[in-house]
Amino acid sequence: MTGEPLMLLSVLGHAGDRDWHDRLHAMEHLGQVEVLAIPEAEAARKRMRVRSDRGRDCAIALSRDQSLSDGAVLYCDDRLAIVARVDGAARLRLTPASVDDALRLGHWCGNLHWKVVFLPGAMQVVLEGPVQRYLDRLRDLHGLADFTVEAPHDP
Amino acid sequence: MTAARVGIGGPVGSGKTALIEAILPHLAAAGIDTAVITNDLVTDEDAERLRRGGQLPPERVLAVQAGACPHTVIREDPTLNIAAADRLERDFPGLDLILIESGGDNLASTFSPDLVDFWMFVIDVAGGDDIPRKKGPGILQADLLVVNKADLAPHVGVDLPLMLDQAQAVRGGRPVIATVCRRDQGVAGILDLLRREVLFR
Repeated sequence: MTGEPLMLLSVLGHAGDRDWHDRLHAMEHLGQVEVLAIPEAEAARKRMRVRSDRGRDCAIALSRDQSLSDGAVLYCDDRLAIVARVDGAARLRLTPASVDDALRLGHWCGNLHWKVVFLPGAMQVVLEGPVQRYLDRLRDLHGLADFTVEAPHDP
Repeated sequence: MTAARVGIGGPVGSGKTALIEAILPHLAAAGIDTAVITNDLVTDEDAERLRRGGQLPPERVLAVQAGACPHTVIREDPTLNIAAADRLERDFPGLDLILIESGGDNLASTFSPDLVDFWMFVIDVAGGDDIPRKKGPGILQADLLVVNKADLAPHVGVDLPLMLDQAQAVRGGRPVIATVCRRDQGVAGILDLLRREVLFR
């Protein structure tokens, strides 16, 4: 293996916490904060190799009872802090016209093993690939159920 | 550190268990302390095969029976596999790696990131050179695609370089490794990737 990554073994805190916020704010002014951009679909992983926004090679290896979230502080010393930025995935919003349509739609999405978030009267499909891939599958259902599709938007 | 958890999925007969048999000696030589979880439908067939192989103490091979749909227990509800991995970590402190072999399935199986830190999908040339072009979720989403039984290509009318090129293309350049697990070809490359991506040693 070439080059040793910086090991990040635990979540030290959250950038939104008051103490961390003040400390990180001061370090940002000194250019001492680096960010790891992690897609939402990957955030459940406990281990990953990732480069910071400044190209630093990092290896995350959390214990099973810890998890990555947006703002997780993974490293901090006198000269460097590393914070995770979990990017929210794009989503499709599906709204069925009736209960019968909702049953069809729910069964269809379950059959496709899509990750969904339930909302009152609607559900969001968390996109883990190109949106067209999802629209292609929904096209087949339009003759069987009445529902509307809203284009991806930020969560 | 806790043990890395690595999934191995793929169609029936593609060589998932053979890959484990082939990589265990490499892991042992590298000093990587390993255990295995197998998933079968209603038997412990794969676990028994690995135990008989003798490359790991039998108690380091646990079996999960999926009951039915094999990808449900690695994706929608991986509770049984998480419990088995937790048990291995409790029973063998200092474990570096847990390999989790899924039950044989089609091209649609994927692993939940709640269960594994990295997963590979194993196909074989005898299944047809059109498999990458079919773009199943396993092909597209795996961290590593393994194309096994590469030595059979000329016998089953498969253009291996073309198949590998197409696999690279549909995966957007993410890793693809050709192997002959029975002859230990290409297996060291898998270990190199695991060391870099999840073992960090």
